[in-house]
Amino acid sequence: MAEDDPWRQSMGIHFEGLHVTTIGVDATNTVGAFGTLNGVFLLDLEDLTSPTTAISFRNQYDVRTLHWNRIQSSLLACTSNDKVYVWDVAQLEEADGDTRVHTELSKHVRSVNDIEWQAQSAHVLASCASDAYIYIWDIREPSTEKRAFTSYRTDRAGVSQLAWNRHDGNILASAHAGFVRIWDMRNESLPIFGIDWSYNVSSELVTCALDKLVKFWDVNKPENFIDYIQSSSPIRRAKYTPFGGGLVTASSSTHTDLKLWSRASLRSPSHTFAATSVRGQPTDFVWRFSPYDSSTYQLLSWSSDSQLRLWAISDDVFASVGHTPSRRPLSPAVRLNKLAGVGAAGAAAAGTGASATNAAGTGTSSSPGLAVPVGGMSPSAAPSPRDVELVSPGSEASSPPALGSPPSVALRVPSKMAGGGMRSPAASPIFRVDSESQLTTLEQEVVYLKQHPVDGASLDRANYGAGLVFLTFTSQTSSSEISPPSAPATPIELRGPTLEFVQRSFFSASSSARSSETTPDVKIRLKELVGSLIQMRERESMPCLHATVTEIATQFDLLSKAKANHALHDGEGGLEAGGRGHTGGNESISVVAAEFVCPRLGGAYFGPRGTIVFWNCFNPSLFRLSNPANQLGDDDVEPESPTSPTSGRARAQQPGRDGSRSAETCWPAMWSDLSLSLELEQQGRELHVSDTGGVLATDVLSSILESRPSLSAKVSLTRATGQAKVHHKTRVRLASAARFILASPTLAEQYAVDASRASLPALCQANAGVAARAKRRDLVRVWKLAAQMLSAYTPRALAGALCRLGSSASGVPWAVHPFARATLASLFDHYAGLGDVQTLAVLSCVFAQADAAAVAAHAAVAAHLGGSAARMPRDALLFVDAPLEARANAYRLGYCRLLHAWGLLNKRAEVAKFVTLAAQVAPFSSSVMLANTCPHDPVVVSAAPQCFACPQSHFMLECGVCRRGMRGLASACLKCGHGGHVRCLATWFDGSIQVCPTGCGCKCIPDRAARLQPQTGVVVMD
Amino acid sequence: MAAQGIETGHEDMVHDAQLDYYGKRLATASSDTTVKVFDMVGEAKGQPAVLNGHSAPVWAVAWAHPMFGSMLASCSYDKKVLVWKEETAGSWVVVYEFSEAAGSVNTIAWAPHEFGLVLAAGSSDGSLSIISKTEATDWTVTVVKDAHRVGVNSVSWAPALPEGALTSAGKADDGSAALCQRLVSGGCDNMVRIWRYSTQESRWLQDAELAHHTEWVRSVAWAPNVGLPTSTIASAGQDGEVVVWSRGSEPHWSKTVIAQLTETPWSVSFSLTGNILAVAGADGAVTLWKEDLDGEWRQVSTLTDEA
Repeated sequence: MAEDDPWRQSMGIHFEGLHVTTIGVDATNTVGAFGTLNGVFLLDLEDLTSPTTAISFRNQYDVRTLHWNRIQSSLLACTSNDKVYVWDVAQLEEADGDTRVHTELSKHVRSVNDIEWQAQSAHVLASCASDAYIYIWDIREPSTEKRAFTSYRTDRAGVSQLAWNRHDGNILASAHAGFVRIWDMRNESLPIFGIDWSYNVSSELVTCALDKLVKFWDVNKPENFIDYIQSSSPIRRAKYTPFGGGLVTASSSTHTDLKLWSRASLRSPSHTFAATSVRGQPTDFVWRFSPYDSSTYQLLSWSSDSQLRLWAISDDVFASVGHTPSRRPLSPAVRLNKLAGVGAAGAAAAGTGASATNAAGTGTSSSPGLAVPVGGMSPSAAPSPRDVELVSPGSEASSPPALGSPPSVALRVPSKMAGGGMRSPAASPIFRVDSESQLTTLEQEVVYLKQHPVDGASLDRANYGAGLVFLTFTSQTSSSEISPPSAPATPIELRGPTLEFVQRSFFSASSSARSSETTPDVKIRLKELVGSLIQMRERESMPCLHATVTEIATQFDLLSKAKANHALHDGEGGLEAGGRGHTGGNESISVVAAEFVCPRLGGAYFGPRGTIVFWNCFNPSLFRLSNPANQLGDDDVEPESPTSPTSGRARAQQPGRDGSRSAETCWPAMWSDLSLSLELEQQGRELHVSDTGGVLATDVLSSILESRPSLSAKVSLTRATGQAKVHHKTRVRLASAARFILASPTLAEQYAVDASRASLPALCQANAGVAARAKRRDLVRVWKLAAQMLSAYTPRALAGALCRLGSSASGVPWAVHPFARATLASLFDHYAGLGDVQTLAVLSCVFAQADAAAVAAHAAVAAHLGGSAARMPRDALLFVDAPLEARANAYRLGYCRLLHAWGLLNKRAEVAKFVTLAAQVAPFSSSVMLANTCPHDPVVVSAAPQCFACPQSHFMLECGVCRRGMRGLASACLKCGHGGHVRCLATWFDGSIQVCPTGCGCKCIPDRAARLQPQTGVVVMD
Repeated sequence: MAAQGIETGHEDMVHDAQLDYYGKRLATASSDTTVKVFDMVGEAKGQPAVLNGHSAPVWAVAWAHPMFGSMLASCSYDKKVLVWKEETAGSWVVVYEFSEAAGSVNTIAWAPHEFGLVLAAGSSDGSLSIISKTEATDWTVTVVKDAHRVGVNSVSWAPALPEGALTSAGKADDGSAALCQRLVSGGCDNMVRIWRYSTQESRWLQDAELAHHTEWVRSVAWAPNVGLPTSTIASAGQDGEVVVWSRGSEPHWSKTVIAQLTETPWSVSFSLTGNILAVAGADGAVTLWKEDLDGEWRQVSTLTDEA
């Protein structure tokens, strides 16, 4: 009994002299078909002793391929030379072995290489041949002419293999000489690389080829394969296991075994189906599962020595591909088998290192070994010993990492680099650091500082042991008038992050008499600045020294400038032209950058709808002065008498195109005919400072005044008059840049977003029309594509498609298509790259509605049909997955802002409906809300209709007439705010009463005479 | 490109011109101490409302979001910021006067409306003042001292929603998108600085310091957020360099120098969609720059005054 159960025991049957080219199991998993030289014979796999049924046909060609229909299990198709024959086996049996061909499909002109029935259909068949044609046949079609309803012709050599996608009947993959094409029956020009589809992942397929590689592809990322198996010989067949995540491969050439690989680890086969009795290589193999127990599988293979083998699949094999079969309780007979399986697996585990010892015992148990890499090589590198032998020395050298031969490389390099290359590290102890972040020690930091010197700072010495660095800072810009002739030294100690002034610093040392009162401030200020810098650098764990020195040098410069400035008003006459622009008269004012205002005289700003407003008042002729003394005479904007002894002008200079601007000048943009004048009076002598350019900031003035309390000052702004008046261009221009901006208000006004009135495909077509009118040809194509993608998204079509799903391929929702989401995502990426938020937002709204329609249809179908609709999980019907949805929300929100600024408020509301709640912006500050106080406890303020603070849960509003809680229709007086039930109020105001029922004295109803329409209702507001 | 001209009638140089939210009104600021408001549509075109209130040249104007009514702010050399409101058509009154700056106020910008009525002002005294309206009548001022040594030249607010706020990273605990008050400023210390209001510490912190310019930073602009996951800032320096700073999910800002003008750039401004940058130069030419698919900014057009 145990030996008779084919599911629990592997066995071999020898068919003498029979040459089988291809085998197949029917949809019921009980009948095997074997293609031979002159026909097909059928074998009942459940009863191997039963006589075989032979189908023979009258030509001399062998059966190349056969394939059972997956829906109508009695339909068998096979190829012979250039013909495809289809038999109905059920009819055959009735006719008692009649060899009448059910259907003959003849259109190919060369030999047919492969056929396959569409997985979802009982009557659609694809065939490919060496004539480079692929035909899709509908065998129901009576006319032989029209039977092939679709054909693909490739421009290359013949088609060798084809395979239908298991999930979508529109997708077909075909193999050509050296490449794979994927055909979509709905789009005849979409060839993409990628041949057996995965059972688990709809987008994964596997190809195998003569290059000894089995490659796994993700059709969503066709640029490169995602994984591969390296084999030592060409792979003839690779098929996924219907259970777990595994793959079975059959090699051509001398190998007689079938290898099982786990998808999870492809470096070595997880199991090998091999038997000593098999002498020929496997021609083909196929899976079947038990009609009584779908968790029990069997592998059928035909080998070239005319042997059919049926391989039992043990639990260990299941486990090796990550599959845990749910089993019925094992019978005693089965347990015996299981023990045998354990033995085989144990041997397989032990054999990973070494030899191909054959597991003894029955000739049918699998033997491990042949394909196992030997020890010594790392498993990840995984070339088998034979591979290594085959690699020539030349190729070894060119690709050392792959073969793992570092010694040769390591030896060669020094031989070339002999001499200086070896010595150099020792000979030059000074290292060169280019990136500051590499510095770790103080020594390195000091070296870095030496290599990257800072202007104005020089390194005196460093004491690495104590962590002290001594530096001297010199000011570059202070003029000799103010600074002592010798450069002042500032030894500063830098101890880690702290800064100390070791000796009297420059600020006190050189301040001599004049501005000594500022010194402590400056010192503190410098310490503060450097301290914060050091803190910041420490947080980022960056070295401090160089940055600190730079900062001090900069600060030093500025501070000494400021000091120079302060020193000005102590001098005789007190006013000195800043920096080296000394005029010699002690009459002009020094202004440093800090005190300039620098207004812009032109600009360009975007308004909404792509409008640009721009203007430019800059008149270069007014900004040519550079030396005030030379300018006084010919400057027509000078309002002051040049004879005034103290009049002077601030320097103005156009920004030099030649880059020759001196360091201390900046550009005082001036309103040149306006003069700011400062009059200083001292002991009856009038110091009159005029600043025509308005560049003299009040800071300077005030500091002058503070230091000279004896002066009384009058600051006045006066306008120049007469000929000094300069006419400026005050024209502001507007231009449109709308043509550069993809989002357009015109499109926004015309785009349809809400599909509640029209069907989705119609909406997309309408939007395509809108885009055409706006001459956006790219958008026309996008919307036409969207219309095509959504063609099945009318409610009727959707429900129909979901009901028929699995039985018919027509009208499958596009979201199920393996490329659908990828298409949408690439569209989104493209327009996101362009920054076209309008297209993104409107498209996302349309597809969100498609998803909503699909979900609704799915729910309806599930409600009616129960579990049968669950064959298609709901999420598989969605175009927009969660990450895309998050992006889409952002686009919609951004588009809403645009629409708001364009004043298209209705359109904005339409789009805003698709913004999910999670994306709503949390209010930053509370805005106006309606709230009531509880009539019984005025402290309680709530927007709720009832007061939940008081135990009776009073209504928050109370009718002014009946004094009961308010609910239902209410009305209130706009003036006093009192009101009540509409019915109560109507009664109250029915007669001549015009005052408020609460007695507040408000005359809620105006005199009837004053009312325009006396006949209108009694309620004050409606 | 045909350009429509508006003769402002200002008696002196125009320092700022801004269109309002809907593009229906234009406000101009001038050295003649006035602000003028022009209606761009309708009958009143050409007869502007004149806003007299400053005693010195007005440097900048800014329109508030229309949800707050017809409101604009102006800043001036007289160290003041005035907030104006249109009470009746054409009649503007000052509703708030800010006079705490120690120097000329050079730049102002209204915050995104999500934060309420909040105004940032940058002054020549180097400080940034954030003026916000809290209660019906109260205005509070937060000052960032020494934002830019020597003076602040330009300020621009970040969009209320930080980049990527709607995707998982930037969400608050309750799942709503977290708002974050941020602004960018450019000043006379040649720096572009990014400031962020820390709600924990209740003060403004410097978020980033972008060093590139070797001269004063003239103008900065933070690009509007239309849902794309990157933040973009443009800055223009006195040295003629126009730089675009951008940041996606990574913490650091990357910079691209998109243009080296021969003239001083006056201003940089982003279109509402954030992908067109207008750069105005001292030579009167306005160049438009557009970001390509490969992320490179290319000049697409030039507008000139002579058109």
